[in-house]
Amino acid sequence: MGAVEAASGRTKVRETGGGQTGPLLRLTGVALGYETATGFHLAVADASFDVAPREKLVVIGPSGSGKSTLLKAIAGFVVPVAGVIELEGRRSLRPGPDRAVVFQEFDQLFAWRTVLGNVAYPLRVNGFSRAAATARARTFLELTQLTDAAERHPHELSGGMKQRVAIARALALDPRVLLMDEPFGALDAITRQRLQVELNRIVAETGVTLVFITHSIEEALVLGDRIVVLGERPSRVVEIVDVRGLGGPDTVEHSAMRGRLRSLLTVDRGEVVADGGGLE
Amino acid sequence: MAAVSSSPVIARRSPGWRWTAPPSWLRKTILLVVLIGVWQAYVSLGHVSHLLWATPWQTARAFATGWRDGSLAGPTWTTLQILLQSVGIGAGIAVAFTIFAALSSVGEDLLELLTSIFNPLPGVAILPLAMLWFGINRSAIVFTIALSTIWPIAINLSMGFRTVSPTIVAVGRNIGLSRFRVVTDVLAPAALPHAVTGLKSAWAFGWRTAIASELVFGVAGSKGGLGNYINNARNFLLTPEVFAGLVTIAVLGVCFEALFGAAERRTVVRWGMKRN
Repeated sequence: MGAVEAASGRTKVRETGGGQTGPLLRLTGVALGYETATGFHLAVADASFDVAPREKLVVIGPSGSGKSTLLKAIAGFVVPVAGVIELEGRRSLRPGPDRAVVFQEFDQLFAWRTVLGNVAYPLRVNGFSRAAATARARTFLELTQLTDAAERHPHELSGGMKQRVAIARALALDPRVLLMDEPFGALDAITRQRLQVELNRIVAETGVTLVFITHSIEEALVLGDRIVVLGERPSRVVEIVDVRGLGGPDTVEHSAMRGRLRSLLTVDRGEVVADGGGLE
Repeated sequence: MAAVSSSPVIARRSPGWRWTAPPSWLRKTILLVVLIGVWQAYVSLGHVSHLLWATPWQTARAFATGWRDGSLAGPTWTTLQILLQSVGIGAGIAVAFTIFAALSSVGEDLLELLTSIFNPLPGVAILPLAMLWFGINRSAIVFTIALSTIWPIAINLSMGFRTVSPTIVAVGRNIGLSRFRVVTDVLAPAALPHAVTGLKSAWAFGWRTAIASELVFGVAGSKGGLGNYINNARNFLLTPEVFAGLVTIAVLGVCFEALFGAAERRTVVRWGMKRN
């Protein structure tokens, strides 16, 4: 379909607002850095990748590779020093609920609101009536299995439950893309595994597009359709790996992929740059 | 036994009766009764002039009479009204100022400068100037008290704003709040524990300034306040009344402490933002 449309001279329409056939999210030559007392520090040197609708894209990289900064840039908190981030063709993105974020920190919840309030309040901000916001919030609490905790305050919840509230809150906003910044990084291993499985179910049920940041290869393999591997800071995209249909964690392909990702993450800086250049 | 106990307080004397066994209010009541006993003993046995020291009983009688015939209740109410109005004005200005400071860096610098100038200034020090500007009336007192309450609130509130987690602020922007609404809907509730602390200390500053101003003033307009009541009683050597005035201030202090405590339990403590 897209090719036909393009051939018939409708490329312009597609570029400006169609978005149906193109990628949902496109990063082109994005460079990110920040000013400190000692001068300007470049965190991400060159990141380019597309995210298709309904895709689960995991960005993985060593600590300090600027993967969190990359997510903040997509969310609109950080402005790139070079390159372009486009969401359905829109540029110069400011923070907004179309790119709802789930952070790692537990204090991302409004401590003074109940669980229900935490999910319903952002809906109220975005024009829902009180009744509609509450009803929608209850739906998403059900989806994240938090119905029984609806009237509790965040400080009465476990870490895993807090993260589920944050997920429910983000999804209730019906984002074009759900951004998650190492959301399970501060959880114990068992809770973490359980939430990974649950996130897969929730994403499948809602059909949301996901960009997920992690430093865990295992987590990337459990969650991702494709994995973007970042190198050492200032980072470039080392490789983009498709991991769909890989089979369970006990299969040969799975462990081969695990090994490959590990070697990609541990190559030294010179090789990473060369590989990144080679890819383009 | 020592291995089981979790704190050194428990480890000190494990069996038998402990001071901390009864509830807090009972412990404090016992202490209060003891203090009143010491006071009574000092007056009865210490050969002090009864013109200079009232006994607890005399004080209680003066207190009861004053509240029944209104000679103490009236001034107390006058002072409370002045205090409420002034703290209200001071808090309003402080909140507006702190929001301005949170939104602009000029405001931030200005607030920092003004607090460093005015905060060390004792509230009453401005009273002579206020008397020149407003005359010897209620406005001068209100102005003086309001000025003394702005700074503790502003300092605590802006400290609260600064210590709010950047994550929750990011969430506020992410869900689509404007800069102003991030301040009112995220920063303000997140800084509420600091705001309550600020209000408490503003209230304490206000009391001091109010009583001190009234002592300087004598009569504020047609009705005198508590400070004036105490000063009048001193003029006529009505020592029990002086004591009754002081007791009133103390009792009100305890009442407001309880009121603030209840407000905190219903909000910041319930939300897990402050320990009880």
